[in-house]
Amino acid sequence: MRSPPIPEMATQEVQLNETLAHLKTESETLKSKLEEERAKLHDVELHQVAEKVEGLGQFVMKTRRTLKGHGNKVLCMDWCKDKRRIVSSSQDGKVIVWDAFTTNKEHAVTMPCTWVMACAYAPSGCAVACGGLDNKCSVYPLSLDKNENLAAKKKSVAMHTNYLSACSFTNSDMQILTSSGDGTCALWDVESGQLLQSFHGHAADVLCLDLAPSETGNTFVSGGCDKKANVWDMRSGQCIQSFETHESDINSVRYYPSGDAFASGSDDATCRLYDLRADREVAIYSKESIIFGVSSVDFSLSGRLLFGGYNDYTINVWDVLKGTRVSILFGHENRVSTLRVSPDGTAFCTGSWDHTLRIWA
Amino acid sequence: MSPRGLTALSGVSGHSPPVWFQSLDGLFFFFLNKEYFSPQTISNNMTSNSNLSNMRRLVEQLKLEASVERIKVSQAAAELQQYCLQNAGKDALLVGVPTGSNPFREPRSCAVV
Repeated sequence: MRSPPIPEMATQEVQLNETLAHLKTESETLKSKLEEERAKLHDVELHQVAEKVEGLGQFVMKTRRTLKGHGNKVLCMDWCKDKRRIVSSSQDGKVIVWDAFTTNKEHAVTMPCTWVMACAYAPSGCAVACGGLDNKCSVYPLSLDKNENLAAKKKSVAMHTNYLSACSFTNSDMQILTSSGDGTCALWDVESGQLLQSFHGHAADVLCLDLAPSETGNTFVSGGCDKKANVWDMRSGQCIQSFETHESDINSVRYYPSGDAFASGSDDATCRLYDLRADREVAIYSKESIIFGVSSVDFSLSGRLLFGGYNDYTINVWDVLKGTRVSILFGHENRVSTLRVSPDGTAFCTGSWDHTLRIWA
Repeated sequence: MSPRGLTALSGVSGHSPPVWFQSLDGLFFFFLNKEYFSPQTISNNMTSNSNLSNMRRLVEQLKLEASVERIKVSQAAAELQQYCLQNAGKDALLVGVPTGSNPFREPRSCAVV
């Protein structure tokens, strides 16, 4: 019987496997070292530090406006910096700009795709960006002329290889940050459509992102189906911190107003607070009675309250410092899919699968 | 038919037991690692190489994360608390605002045209 000659490739393969195993051990060691270092500084819980703080009284928050007009599930919304206009997008491809004071619709655009999962208002208030199953992020300049066809001026900015899950303008109308089901985030130049930086590191769909408040510099946080929340340096594309304590997809991330921490909401029915300087999770907002996932979270202006929109149609309001729930709000007739506090903190808006948006104050 | 005129006589997969090959000259032999000469080996090596570079990247990333400067939770928590308390007065949803200054709390006026 002829025996096969051992080719070089086999030796190479063996060598590769050895190095692979070696690297695997090294990564395991590093991971446990990371946990050790983080644990050393875990000397107290946030709610213990906050014991002496006065508790919050009863909250009276009601629906003050209901925005009706979408023909299908509302998936996303964003406030304009003028604190009164809102852009919202829905499953049927419609993107509507509202005046929240009067509830009038100011602009409406029909996208060529369904499931417009992301929309954002430009800082100047002169444009909106949106995208979804078309894998793109498009920018529509808003015209003062109500009769003008918005769709004609559409500009395609971002191109991903899977659905667009979130988008946000940076400090100006010139750049947009996007996250996608293709597992990456990307920074784009609006004028040229050029990719300026891409961010790789998530092992699955990226579902949400939030930019750090401008005073704290060029970073942003993203959350994904890999249960991880990653903090990125926008200039280098590097992931600088990573947190993996959630037990399911992270649907929403939002920075604390000071920029030193961020909150996340997940399908595991909890919201969590991560402090960036302590480099760890410092609070969990959960109750045994809450079993439905959190779709979106946002802080009140001072950071004392955390609002969470849940898949059981309710909004839970949490005391960030004490970790307790201070209020539960009813009104929507289907899942709350999106929630944002207004720029001056006077109200917050929620969008729901019941086709409506509500302003609460 | 794989290169070298070898015919696989049983399923070829990454984890199956040794596969018997019958060469053109009728001799039977088997390889413990059957794909020595097949395109599969080449792509396996390429996958292993990309696995290797992925692992290297992961290790570098972990080293970076391990080197982050951290502060104690007690200090971080105190600063979060301080920010809350300092800004509580401006937080309309927290403390409410004098009636008349929250446009959403005002009922909408209806104009009769």
